[in-house]
Amino acid sequence: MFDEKDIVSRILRNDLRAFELLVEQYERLVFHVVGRLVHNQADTQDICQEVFIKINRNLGQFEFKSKLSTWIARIAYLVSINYLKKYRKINFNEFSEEMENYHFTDESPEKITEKKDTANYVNQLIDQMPEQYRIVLTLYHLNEFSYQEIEDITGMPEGTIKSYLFRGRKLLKERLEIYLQKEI
Amino acid sequence: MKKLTDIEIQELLEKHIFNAESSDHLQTDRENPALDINFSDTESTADNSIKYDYNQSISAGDQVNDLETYALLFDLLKKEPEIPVPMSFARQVTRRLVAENTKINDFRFYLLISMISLFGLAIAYYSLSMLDKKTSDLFIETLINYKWLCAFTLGGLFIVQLIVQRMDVRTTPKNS
Repeated sequence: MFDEKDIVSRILRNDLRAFELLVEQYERLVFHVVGRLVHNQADTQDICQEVFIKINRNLGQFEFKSKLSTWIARIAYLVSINYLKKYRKINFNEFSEEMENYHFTDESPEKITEKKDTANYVNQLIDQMPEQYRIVLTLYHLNEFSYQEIEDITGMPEGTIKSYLFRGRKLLKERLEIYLQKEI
Repeated sequence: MKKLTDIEIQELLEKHIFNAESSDHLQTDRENPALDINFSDTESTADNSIKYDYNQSISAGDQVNDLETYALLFDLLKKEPEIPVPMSFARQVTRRLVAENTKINDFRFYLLISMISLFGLAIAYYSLSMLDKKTSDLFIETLINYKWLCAFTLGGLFIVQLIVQRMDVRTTPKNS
């Protein structure tokens, strides 16, 4: 059983084994968050390592006011966003108004699914979406965070989170319908 | 019978009123339990910015298709994407943490040594000046005369240390 408080206090006493346990517990969460935002696989691993180093350095500031997973996801999100800002100069507002007319690449579903299944097709569609849609969909559906927790992680208001979720899902559903029709 | 909008379908799925498995049984709108639910409360929770004009008539068949596709989508979104987490990732992170901590500790150590050296020189000069003014002046003079030698020695030591650290980083790959 993973006891957060015990692990945190052991890490604060410089117990490296406890830190390894924490990494093992949350590595998938961090990889999901970072992987959704950063597509370069080599960079993803490097950023994930950086996230855990930051977690280790700042663990003393964690006061158990939220879940440890929320705090870790926030650090992963912020480190990824900093990376994207540094290397790609993203603008988070540039897509929000245009999402209704958003177009995915022209690669046909058949072409993609020659070697991949429906889940992978959906994941590829998500990867083509703007960052804020990707992260909200991932945190809500995959990591099962609540609206409030996603707000804590990303700093986006709840209404915006809901908006991104609904728009993103509607867009994915439309593409999935086309894909399923062609598959039949 | 009220027609379901995309927003309403999504909200119902979020509330687990039906899921991907149950959608298999949604053959007709008669069998769909969601269609009997009053949506007056869900209207208020929906974000105004995403209210689309879906009030045009949709056939029951289309609606069931929508439900099924959304249910499938919700199911697919729960599936983990193929993200290759390295086998010994935790160990790699710990190794990197130890390496970075060592680097920080080394820096602190050299800073401390430098401070102690400077403090030692100041103490030595002060002690000498208390005992013999001439000797203390000679001490300062010697330091000034050999300032370049001192600077090069300290600089050389610093560069050697830097090279050793760089080599250390190269021989401990981050992702191995």
